Amino acid sequence: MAIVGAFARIESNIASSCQSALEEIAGVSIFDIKDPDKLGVLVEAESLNQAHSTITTTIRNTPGVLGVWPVYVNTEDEPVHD
Amino acid sequence: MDNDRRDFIKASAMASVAAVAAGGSAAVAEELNESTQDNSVQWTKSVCRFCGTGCGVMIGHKGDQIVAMRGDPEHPTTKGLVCAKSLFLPKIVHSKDRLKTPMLRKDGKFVPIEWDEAMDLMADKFAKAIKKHGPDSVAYYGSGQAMTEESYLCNRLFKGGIGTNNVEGNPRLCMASAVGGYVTTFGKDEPMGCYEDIWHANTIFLVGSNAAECHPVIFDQILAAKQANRRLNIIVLDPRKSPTVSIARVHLDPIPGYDLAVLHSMAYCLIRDGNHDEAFINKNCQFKVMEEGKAVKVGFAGYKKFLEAFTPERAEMQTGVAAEKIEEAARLFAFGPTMSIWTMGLNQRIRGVWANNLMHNLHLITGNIGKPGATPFSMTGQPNACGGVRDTGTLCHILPYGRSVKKEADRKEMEKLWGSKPGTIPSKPGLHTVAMFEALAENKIKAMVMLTTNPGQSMPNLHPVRDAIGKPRKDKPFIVVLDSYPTRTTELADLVLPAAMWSEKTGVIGMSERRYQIHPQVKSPPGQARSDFDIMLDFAGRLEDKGVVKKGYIKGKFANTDDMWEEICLASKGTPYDFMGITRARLHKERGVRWPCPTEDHPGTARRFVKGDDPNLDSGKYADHTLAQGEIKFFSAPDNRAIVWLRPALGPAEPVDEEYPIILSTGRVLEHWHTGTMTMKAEELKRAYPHCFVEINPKDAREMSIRSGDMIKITSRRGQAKIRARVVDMPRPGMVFVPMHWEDKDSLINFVCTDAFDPGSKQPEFKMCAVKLEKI
Repeated sequence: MAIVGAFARIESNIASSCQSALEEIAGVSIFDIKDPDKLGVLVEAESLNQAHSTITTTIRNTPGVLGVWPVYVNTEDEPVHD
Repeated sequence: MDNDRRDFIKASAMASVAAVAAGGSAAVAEELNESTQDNSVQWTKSVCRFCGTGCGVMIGHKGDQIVAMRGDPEHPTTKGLVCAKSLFLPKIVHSKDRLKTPMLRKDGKFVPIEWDEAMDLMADKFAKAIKKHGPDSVAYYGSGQAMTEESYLCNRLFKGGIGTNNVEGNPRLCMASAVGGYVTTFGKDEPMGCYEDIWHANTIFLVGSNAAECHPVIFDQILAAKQANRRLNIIVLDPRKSPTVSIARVHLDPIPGYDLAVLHSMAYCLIRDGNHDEAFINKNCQFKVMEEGKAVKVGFAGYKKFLEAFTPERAEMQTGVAAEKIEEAARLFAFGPTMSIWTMGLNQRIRGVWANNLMHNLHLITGNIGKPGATPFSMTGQPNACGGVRDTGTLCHILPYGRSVKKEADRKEMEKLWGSKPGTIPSKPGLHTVAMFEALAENKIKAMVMLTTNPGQSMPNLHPVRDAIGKPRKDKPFIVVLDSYPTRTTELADLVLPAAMWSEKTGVIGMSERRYQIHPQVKSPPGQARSDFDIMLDFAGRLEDKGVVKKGYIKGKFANTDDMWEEICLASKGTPYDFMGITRARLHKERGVRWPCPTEDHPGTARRFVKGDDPNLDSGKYADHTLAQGEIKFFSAPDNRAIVWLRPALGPAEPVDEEYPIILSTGRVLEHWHTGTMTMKAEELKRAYPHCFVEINPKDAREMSIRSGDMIKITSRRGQAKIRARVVDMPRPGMVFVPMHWEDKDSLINFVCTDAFDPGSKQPEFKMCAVKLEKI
């Protein structure tokens, strides 16, 4: 199980449709961070690989998203290599 | 993971995001710390170890394992923001292929050996070479990723202990031209501005910089500044339509290697339209041109006459950039305050120093310098190229903190501080990087140590370099490599020493805006790995025992990096860098401090050369009490005037021709860093870009009947690579682009790149060479 906190910088004039599109993505929750240019994004996935893929392919390509920056990642549930 | 734990982590993640979004205010950070209170995980402030941005991070660790990472919202410049690479550092650190034991090549195979045997062998090989062939028969090749104390120690050992200036490092490959630009224009190295200038600028000029992928946190700051200031204009100069271009109002896309005429043409337009600052020029600038090897003063009138050859229409013919785009860029540049940011696209050139000079010219003639939002700013690609290598003087021609090996007074100062025998430091520069590997190929260097770097992949014209390091031959030099992972360089070494990684050792790094920050150790290195500092300290002691370094020169003087930092501060004292006030305690407490910072109560310096900000203008040999607050004085330049250089607009080392009709440029992608030795350890990052690719413009692809996915052979006069095509409207027609991260033989694009280098900075021209393409 991987949990990633990220924020997406968005085009504020289409914030509403952008938020709706992001909320449609499986494993993604959107939360308000009191800034019209940004949305908080929480990604829950089976693995960090899946979470990363969600961010880099799905979220980043959503219309209105200028960029997405993960700022918190927890990997304590994933086995480390040694 | 149970539900309570999961909910807790989700709350922590959301709090972290909120803290970053709030701009890292102390109150929000405190709230975050409370909300993420978790006794099972200890959080320690640190700094990311990838690019030169220097993002503050918090490491979450349980015992000897890193279990979480987050951006540090209290960090004054990056405010909690980090990129994906940073968040994968825990995985990278815990990678299963970490080197854990010293390995010696015996009969062509690596066998594990004990540390004592390894260190004695290393010292023996170096001592024998020095005794038989002299100090210049050995060499050090370091890194902008080593800690400051590590680079300083090696510089001290080789120059002041052994007596050779054969001290180099990979910053020669990434920012030597920026150093050359700052030194020739202002008299001293390093940017005078800071990241905060992004927020004050009305125009940002990005040159040879794909910030969106290579400095993503800086890119976000530009995006945020643009959202906050709708008048902010972005100009991008890059032959490739990189993701950064998406925010540009004007995209200048010259034929690679021909952009100097664009910069001259912008200067022409600025002066023609009266957008220059005559009062600033009269007070702070001088104009020079090189004639028969000598710098000759020409005056502003001479400069204006020189620029007449660079009307936008003429520049269009030379560069391929439409005249109206040059006009528009010049108009926007004049709408200051203007900040220029550049990286490797400007530096990795045979005209790199000149290109840097021309960037400074634009700022000097418009007075766009030394004020909030107005600065020329070179970004580095490595976390400690600035603090660790440029500032400590760990290159073949310089000494710590702005000193030169050519100046007797500078050598004497360092010999006195280091306790060297007078005359130990040679007055002649040592071998620069390309020359060093050539000397290695000729067996003129008998023993060489490489630290935290991967020249077996990162050097241009790679075939002769790899042969120089590893090809079996009579009297083959003895090669020692210190690294944390197996690389394309360790495979060529005679002795491989396992080194500690980020979070496993303590040391200082200095990033692009002169901010020194500390990396703390939070876990043990794996197996028998030791810090580079510890290994090189051990090596120095053994060289003393073998009689090739003065007894007591290093052994017994320094137990750890804390001790070394004290001497480093002393080395900076009285220089324009003076950071006597950046104590170890302060580094542990604060989120970095920008030099100069001469006393513990000094806050650090946002902008150099500015009265009221730069402490050099308040006391010491550069003090000037006649200046008004905010007034600028280039105290390190001749006659206190920065030099506007009249440089010829010459092209690349290897123009295209009938046989090699395409220009190759190399660079990076968002998920990977340099030679991929770290980022390829995280499966998630690796899968984002599992294979190398060559970007080809659709027009060229059509002409060559190439489709995306086709395997392409890229051939230059030096070598070839076989890489899959990606047909995309990013490189301009006539140009292809290949990222540099993959280590498999077919993808090693540096086999193809030229090792032609800038005659001033000795930096190779990675950014352009002539190639031909063939579908296979």
